[in-house]
Amino acid sequence: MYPQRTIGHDGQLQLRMFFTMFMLGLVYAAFILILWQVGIPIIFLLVFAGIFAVFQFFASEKIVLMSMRAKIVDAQQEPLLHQTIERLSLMAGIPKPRIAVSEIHVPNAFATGRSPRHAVVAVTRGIMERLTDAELEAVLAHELTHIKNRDVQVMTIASFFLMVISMLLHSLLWMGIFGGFGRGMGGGGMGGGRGRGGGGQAAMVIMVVMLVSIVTYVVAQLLIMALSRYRELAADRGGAILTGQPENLARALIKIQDAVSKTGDRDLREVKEGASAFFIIPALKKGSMAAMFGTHPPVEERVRRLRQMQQDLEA
Amino acid sequence: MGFFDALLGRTSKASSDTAGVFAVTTAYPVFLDKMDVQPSQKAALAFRPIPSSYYDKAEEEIRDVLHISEKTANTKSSLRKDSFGYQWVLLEDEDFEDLVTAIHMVAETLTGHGFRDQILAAVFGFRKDGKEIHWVYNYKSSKFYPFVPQGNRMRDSAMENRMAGAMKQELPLEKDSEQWFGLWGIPH
Repeated sequence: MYPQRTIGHDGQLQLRMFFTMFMLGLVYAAFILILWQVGIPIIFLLVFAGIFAVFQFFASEKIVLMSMRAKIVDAQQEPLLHQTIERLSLMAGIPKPRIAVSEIHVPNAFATGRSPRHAVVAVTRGIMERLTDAELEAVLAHELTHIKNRDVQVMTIASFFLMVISMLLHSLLWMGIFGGFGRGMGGGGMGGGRGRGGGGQAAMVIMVVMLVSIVTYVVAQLLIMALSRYRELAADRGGAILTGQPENLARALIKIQDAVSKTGDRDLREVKEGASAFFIIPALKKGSMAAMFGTHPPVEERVRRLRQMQQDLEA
Repeated sequence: MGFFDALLGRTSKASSDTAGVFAVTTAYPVFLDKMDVQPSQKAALAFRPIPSSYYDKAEEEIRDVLHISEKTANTKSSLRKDSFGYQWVLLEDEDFEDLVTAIHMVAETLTGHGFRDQILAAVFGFRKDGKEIHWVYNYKSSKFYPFVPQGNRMRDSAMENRMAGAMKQELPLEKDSEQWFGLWGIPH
């Protein structure tokens, strides 16, 4: 019997994902605890950031589409895209996402949207021109898997504290600029004997908070990028299962990589990381740091895994 | 899709109830009577084959199953691939129940070989005023929906809505018409 389950999910990948999320939770918990201890009004900060995050979450698809200059297309404009995605959605058991096309010539594709019901899959004209129908289908299946796996939500939640920290650092800078270091804090019940401690002690607290924030930010960022890489591998795997042909996706990735590194177009770099979109391949140039600090695993590794999968299908 | 599946990016299971397709059997006489349609005496099951020896075995068994259906119930069948790479099992029989049974047996064979998630849909054909009318069974949601193609990329929404309205008591109907996925280019 065809091992639907084991081919469908990579146990080791699941374990790593779980571990990464666990570490992220730990880092965030420690961060909150320390801030709470020194008397930062953390609840207020969380609520404030929460409102902002919700706004960003609901606007994310519009932001991404706008920055990519992608327009929603209907079935008359792009019949092949619609028919391919309709079939894949039916098979994947997800609602049909809206479909957008960007006229830029860099080959790429992405998925965004706050839930499967609000999802958008977008492709560039460049990818449609360069890939065969089967390769394009493989890319679309990868993007639909991002939607099915709810990657936008997971990554938005995972990055929530990054926003909290950057807000905190900003407000500390403001407080620093306008003097009155001590006044902003100590308002809560924890403030006890600290308010009168004078400028020296307050400055110490600020230093600690800044240090903790920066360390948390860096560690969390690394964990989030690792998580993102794992989600990419999961989407590769899920997408390859959907079409039944991992090799198609492998070939598509190689083609896109070649084209992206040749054109070096700036178009795709305008999208900010925070906008929660999942590109098939990020438009950044390859570098030695990419393996550790990238949101995507190197294409070579993805291709290697897909080809391994193709072999496993025969085993 | 459970919480942990979402958390861990697992894409393995979508529940699919292969037996749910039998609901169309009881709806069939009502449909003919109420909507003045003719059965095309055709049905089809589509799935995405995975090129591997696992699949070769499954296909072999499907051919055996179809052979038995032809012998015992006189259900004619053929296997065709469409331009999107999906495999279609095309069935033809005057007896509607035999069509549904054959569809179910093929779906069960695929399930038995671990390919349940690869099933795209089952389609039952009818005709009205020279138009092809399809009832599609979505194995992922266990729901039916109408599909009336018009040319090779348009569809007759008015007719689809009429069909859905007439059959909502008789069939587990997909209520959200956004989820009525089009299936153009069904091989003949």
